Amino acid sequence: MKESPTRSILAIVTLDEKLVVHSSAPTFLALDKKAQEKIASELGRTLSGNVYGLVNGVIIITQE
Amino acid sequence: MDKGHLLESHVLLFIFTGILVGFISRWWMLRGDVRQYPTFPNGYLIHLTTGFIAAAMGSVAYPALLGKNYVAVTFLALAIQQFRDIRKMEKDTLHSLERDSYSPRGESYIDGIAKTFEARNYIVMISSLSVTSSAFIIRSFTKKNLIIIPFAVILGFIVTVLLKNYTKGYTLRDIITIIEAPLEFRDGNNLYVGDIYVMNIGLSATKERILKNGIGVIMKPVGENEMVILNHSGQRKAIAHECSRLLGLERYVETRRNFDNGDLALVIVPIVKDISRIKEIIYNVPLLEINKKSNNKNS
Repeated sequence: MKESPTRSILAIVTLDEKLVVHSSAPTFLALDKKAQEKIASELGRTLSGNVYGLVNGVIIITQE
Repeated sequence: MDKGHLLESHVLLFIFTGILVGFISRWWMLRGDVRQYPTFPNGYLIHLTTGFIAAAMGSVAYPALLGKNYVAVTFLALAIQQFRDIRKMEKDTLHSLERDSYSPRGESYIDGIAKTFEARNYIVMISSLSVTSSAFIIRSFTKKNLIIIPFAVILGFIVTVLLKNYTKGYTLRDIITIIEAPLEFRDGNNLYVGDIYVMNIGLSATKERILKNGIGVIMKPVGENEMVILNHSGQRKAIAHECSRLLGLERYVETRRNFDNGDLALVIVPIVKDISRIKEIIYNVPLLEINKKSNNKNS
């Protein structure tokens, strides 16, 4: 059977803190879209993770 | 044949001819296998040497039987063990290379390559055996070596070609057609190749890079059996590996299946951006043996 590995969320970067409720992962609040992407990029590189964007504008960094 | 007769010139000549035909056969098959093989000079040397030993074992088997030296034939069993070790060695080598590869070959592909290398030593052994045995048989009709040797050599090469064709695998060219498809982001972050969702990208800079340098293709299976083959995880890994290995990988390589019609989408950001070469590479990806067993197109 094909393996289906799950990946944990390492960090979250959001523009609106109300969009993230009871997060177990560190959550970063960015001032604007440009800052959000920059923070996500830096976190992605530092944590060697993958950066994904959700439809509500929240960016998550997951394990690679 | 009595003891001491192995030194007769015609016996030595037949054995030497068998070894030569086997060795040349191994060389020919090795040269035809560049795409699957890590092209290290040392790897070539290892396989040519083991091919030579296989040819020698095949060549002496028939004269040993004629000399009632049945113990010598048991060495063939030992040879089989050695060739299994070759398969293991090849597997270990390819496994160790996986860690350094951006897009791994996958277990199924490695298993297929390792089996091929083992099987080719058996081909060499059988062709060498056929050369010497046929030489002895022809000698019972004529004593002229100028007639015996060419016949035996031709027979040996025919056996090699037949066995190579028998063990030859299919490629994806036999089961799919490929079309180029545009890359686009929908809902902001979701990357699509044509109408097939492939992956999510969170950063604008990465999106721009993919749209600028990326290539998207869709592989369409020609039938239902082929759809099953293309869905195999190992087969998809093999496709991604060959594309990234031969064209270089600037960034992502990813495959994703369309569940409705069985199409397979591939997106890659290669170093060498050449759509025609990508198509050619995919068409030449071998059909994994594990897939052939259950979904042989001729069955």
